[in-house]
Amino acid sequence: MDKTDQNIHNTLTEYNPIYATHPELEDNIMDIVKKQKNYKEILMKTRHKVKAGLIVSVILLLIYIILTYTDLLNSIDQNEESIKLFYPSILATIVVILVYFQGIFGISILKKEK
Amino acid sequence: MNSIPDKVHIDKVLSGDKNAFVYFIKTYREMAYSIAISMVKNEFNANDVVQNSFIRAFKALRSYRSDAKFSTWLYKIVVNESLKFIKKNKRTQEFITFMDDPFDYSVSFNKAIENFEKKDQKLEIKKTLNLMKPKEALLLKLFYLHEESIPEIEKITGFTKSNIKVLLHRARKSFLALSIQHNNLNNG
Repeated sequence: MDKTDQNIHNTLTEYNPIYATHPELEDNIMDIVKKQKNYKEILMKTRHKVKAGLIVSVILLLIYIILTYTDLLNSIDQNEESIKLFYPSILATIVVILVYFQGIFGISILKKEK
Repeated sequence: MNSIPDKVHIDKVLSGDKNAFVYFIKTYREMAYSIAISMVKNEFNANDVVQNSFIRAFKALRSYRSDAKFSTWLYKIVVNESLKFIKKNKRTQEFITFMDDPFDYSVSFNKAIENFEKKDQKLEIKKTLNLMKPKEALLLKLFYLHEESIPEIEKITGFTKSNIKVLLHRARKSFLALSIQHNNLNNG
C-alpha cells in the first residue's frame, strides 16, 4: 500500500460507523425463520409414505399374480364368473391410484427442494 | 475454511434447530449492513436488504458448500440482494465517476486529509460514498476497509479479477476527487 492507499484506508476506518442496524432486525428475521418449514423433516416423512405406498402396491400386485396364476378365485367361488372378470381391473385401478398419488407426492417434494 | 463456531451452528441449523441461526445474525449483521448500505445508500433499504439476505441464506443453507468461508458466501448473497434491489428500484440519483480524468488527485488528497476537521470528516465521507457508484463504493469498502483480498472479492461479488482491478482504480479516483471537492467546498 502506498501513502494514498494508506490514507484511504485510515479515512474509511476512521469513518466506519458502528452500524446501528434496526433494533428489531434480529427478531424480524428470526420470526420469519421460525415460520419456515423444515423441508428435511417433510422430505423424510414423504419418503416414508412413498416407501409404504410402494410396498403396499407390490403386495397387491403379488396377491393379484398369485390369484391369477393359481386360479384361486375359481376354486373359492366357482359360480361367480363376474368376480373373476372384474377382479383384475379393480386391482389394476388400485395400483394406478397408488402410483398416481406417489407421483404427486414426489413431484411436490422435488419442487420444494429446489 | 470455516471457523469452528460457524460449522457447529451450520450443523445445528441443518439438523432442525432454527434458533441456532441467531448466531449468524449476531455475528455477521454489521458487515452485511456495511455492504448493503454502500450499495443501496439508504439506511431503511439497507435493513431490508440485510433481512432478505439472511432469510435467503437460511433457505439456501443446505446448498452451502463448506469449501468457501461462510462469511464470503453470505456476503455474496448480500451483494446479489443489493444488486437486485437497485435493479428493481431504478433510482434517479446520479453517481459520479472520474474514470477518464487523467488528473492525479493523490497529492491533493493526501494534503486534504490533513485538513479534514474530525467532526466533519464522517459526514463528508458519508456524502462521498453516497455519490459513488454502488459497485465502486462496495469495492472500496471491501478492499480498503475490510481488507479482503482480490480473490476473496472475486468470490463475494462474482466480478472477474480484471473487472475488480478496473473498478477499484475508478473507485479510488472517484473517492479522491470527491473528497477533495468536499474539502474545498468546506474551506472555500
